[in-house]
Amino acid sequence: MVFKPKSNVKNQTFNNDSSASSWFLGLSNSVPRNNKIWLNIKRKFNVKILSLITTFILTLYIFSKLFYPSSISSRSSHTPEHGLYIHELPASSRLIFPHVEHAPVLKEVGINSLYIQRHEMDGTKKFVLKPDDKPLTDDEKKKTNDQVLLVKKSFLDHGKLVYRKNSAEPEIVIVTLIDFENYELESIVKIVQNRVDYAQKHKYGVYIRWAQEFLPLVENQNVLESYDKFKPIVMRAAMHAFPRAKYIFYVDKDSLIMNLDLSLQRNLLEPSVLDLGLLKNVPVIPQSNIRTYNHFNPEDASIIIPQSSDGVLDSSSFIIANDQFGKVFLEYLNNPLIVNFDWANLHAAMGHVLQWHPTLLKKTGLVIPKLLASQYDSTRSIDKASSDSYHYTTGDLIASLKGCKERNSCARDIDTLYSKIKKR
Amino acid sequence: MPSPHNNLYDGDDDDYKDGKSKRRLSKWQYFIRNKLTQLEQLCNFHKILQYNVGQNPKKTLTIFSLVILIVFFCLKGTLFGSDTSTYASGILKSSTSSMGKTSANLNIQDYYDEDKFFDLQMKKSKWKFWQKDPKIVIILAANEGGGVLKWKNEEEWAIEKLSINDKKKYAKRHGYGLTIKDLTIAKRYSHEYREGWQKVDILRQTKREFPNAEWFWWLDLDTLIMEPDKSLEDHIFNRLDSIVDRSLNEFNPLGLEQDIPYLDTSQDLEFLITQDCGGFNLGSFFIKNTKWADLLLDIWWDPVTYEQKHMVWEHREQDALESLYATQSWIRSKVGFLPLRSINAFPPGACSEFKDDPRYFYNPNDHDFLVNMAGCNFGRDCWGEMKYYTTLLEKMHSKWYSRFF
Repeated sequence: MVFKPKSNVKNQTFNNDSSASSWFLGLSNSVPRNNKIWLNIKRKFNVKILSLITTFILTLYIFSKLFYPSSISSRSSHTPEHGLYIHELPASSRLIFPHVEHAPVLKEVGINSLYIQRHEMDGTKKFVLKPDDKPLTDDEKKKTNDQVLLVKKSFLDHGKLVYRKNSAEPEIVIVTLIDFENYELESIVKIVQNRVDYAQKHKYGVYIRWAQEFLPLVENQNVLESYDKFKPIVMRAAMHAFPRAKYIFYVDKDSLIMNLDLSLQRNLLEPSVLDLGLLKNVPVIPQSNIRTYNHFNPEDASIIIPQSSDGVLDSSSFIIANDQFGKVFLEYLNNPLIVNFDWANLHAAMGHVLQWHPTLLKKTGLVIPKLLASQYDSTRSIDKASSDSYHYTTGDLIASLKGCKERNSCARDIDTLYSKIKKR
Repeated sequence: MPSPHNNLYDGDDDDYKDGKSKRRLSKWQYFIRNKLTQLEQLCNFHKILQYNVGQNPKKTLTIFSLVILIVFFCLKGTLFGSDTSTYASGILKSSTSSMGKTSANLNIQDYYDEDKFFDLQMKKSKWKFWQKDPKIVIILAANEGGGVLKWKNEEEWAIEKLSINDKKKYAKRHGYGLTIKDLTIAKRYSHEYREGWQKVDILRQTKREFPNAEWFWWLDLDTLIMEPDKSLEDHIFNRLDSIVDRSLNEFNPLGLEQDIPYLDTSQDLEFLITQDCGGFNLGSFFIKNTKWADLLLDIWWDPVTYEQKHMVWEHREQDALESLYATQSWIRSKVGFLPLRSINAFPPGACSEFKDDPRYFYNPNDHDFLVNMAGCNFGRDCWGEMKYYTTLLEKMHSKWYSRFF
């Protein structure tokens, strides 16, 4: 570029002209009528840009859909989930409990006639559960006069009941295992009635099974010795029977729900309430290096187990959420390699699983026994005045009769406590 | 219409002429000011053009071409991948020649410096450029044994190099992540069969490393991807319905129970494995990055089950998984079986007692995706097999023009 001086006047005038028309105002200034058209065009152009951007995003979206699978659908033909039996019966009510009045007959005929027996290689005999056992139809029931056969079939068919009604209720299902061999009919009736009363009051479900129904599923086929091993099995069965339930609540046969008015949500499951009862940063089992999480969020609790004052897990009543973690916990406890390992009791197995598997411990809330399993001691007063965090006093949800078998006082204790339950 | 050069500054600065400012602008400043003026004028002409035409075909055109360009670049990665086979053959030649010499050319330092494969770990997906992390991450288990118990010989180094390069090229081509994990013998895995669970620990570690990945693909070292053109989406994930079998009806080498209580086959698949003649094979499998996988990886190792079975579980973690699969419905509900040949085809040496069963063995005519020289270090020739399949890979994927080079 050459820098040469120019006439000042010329330059300036020209500059003024051109800048006036093209710099600040443009042509639109000199032709004001066209201003509107110009704006209009501008608006149209905006619309165009917008539409272009949308098409651009749309193409990207289509491409991303084309090249990457967003979800993987499974093969369409699948068999529906079934429980321990392949053929299942729909339950008419959310209160599933066996014909309690059959207890004496069942005791009389004995377990030997309820199941088929298989001779094992080592010479022992084992009871076998037939998964494809067909339930007795109503017609067959009418035709037969054999009362024993009816009792037997009602025992075997009870496990096939599943609740499939399309309602949100029940949110909570109470599970109990009853035993016709070692308990008198009178006690059994009280135990079942107690659960049903509580469930009716709060619209919960009930899932009560004979402990003997699970005998074929364990290696040591003795009800008294293997009773603890049935608990996770019946809990898993309850999850299957009530797929819509949120929580499954196990209450041992040697426990009674004492405060029928207290709902489980209000007593325990509300996160704010649960937070108060949680035992944080305590050893999972006595002297363990593995402790419960210090920063445990009560909303994460899928497994709720009381821990007694001596630091031992209490498996007499516990709550498992009907979700993935709850299912994994129970199914893993039912893994033959775990079930048939030489555990002293269920809480030893539970303690092992929680200590070795942090993904499950992360979802476990250990709570004070008062909330789920207050120990009943017949020598102590049950007045509120003598309350501690361990023993049963009036107003607690559950009285646990742990150790009543050793004291040989189960039936008597059930009697005493049952009479104290307020009914309306 | 004024001509553009009339507006140019040409040395006679107004301020200077006015005498108000003593400062004389440098040539450079004049130049910039001129340029700016030019630019603004240009914009003006643009407006004029707009006004005259009523529309703006130029802008529209620019945007359109931009869109096309972007789409083109996005697709470029998947359409024009560089040729794997030529690269592999180069190494093969160099390593064979070095094999002949007594002095080893492949020393450790070279090998790691040259490859820098760890850079690939955070490789971006090519066709989804707004996504930060890869959706599929390949985990390659390299350095098996790590020379702890015996010297790693030249052949082993070469095999490792070939295998790593194969995965590296594949990951780069399709925009997957690749992470190479060290399987050195460590004391914590030294008790009897505990070693197998190193795999579980590595998977958990990788899950923490790639929290946004969707799938992980575990690969043993003695593997070779024979069809690098196929993406995993096309080959596996887009046609899961037609290739995955989640029952044991058709192929059940272990004779497992076919139906167990609480099995829910309507759930999404999150663990894709294969079965060979002896049961589950974990040389090549997919696991989804989900909570379920966390649970499985946590449950997989348990001292109580191990204590009871360690004399029986010859294949360690594979047998442990089989045992869990047999009884745990929550695991079985998520497991799908891919045909062995889809991601884990065997050379004739493996499963040799089933020579006539075509379900197990790699067939170049069917273009099987991956060959796994499983168990080649048990009385077979790993290097020979690797050499054979690398040559085959090169032959199958050579282009008409590659003979000129």
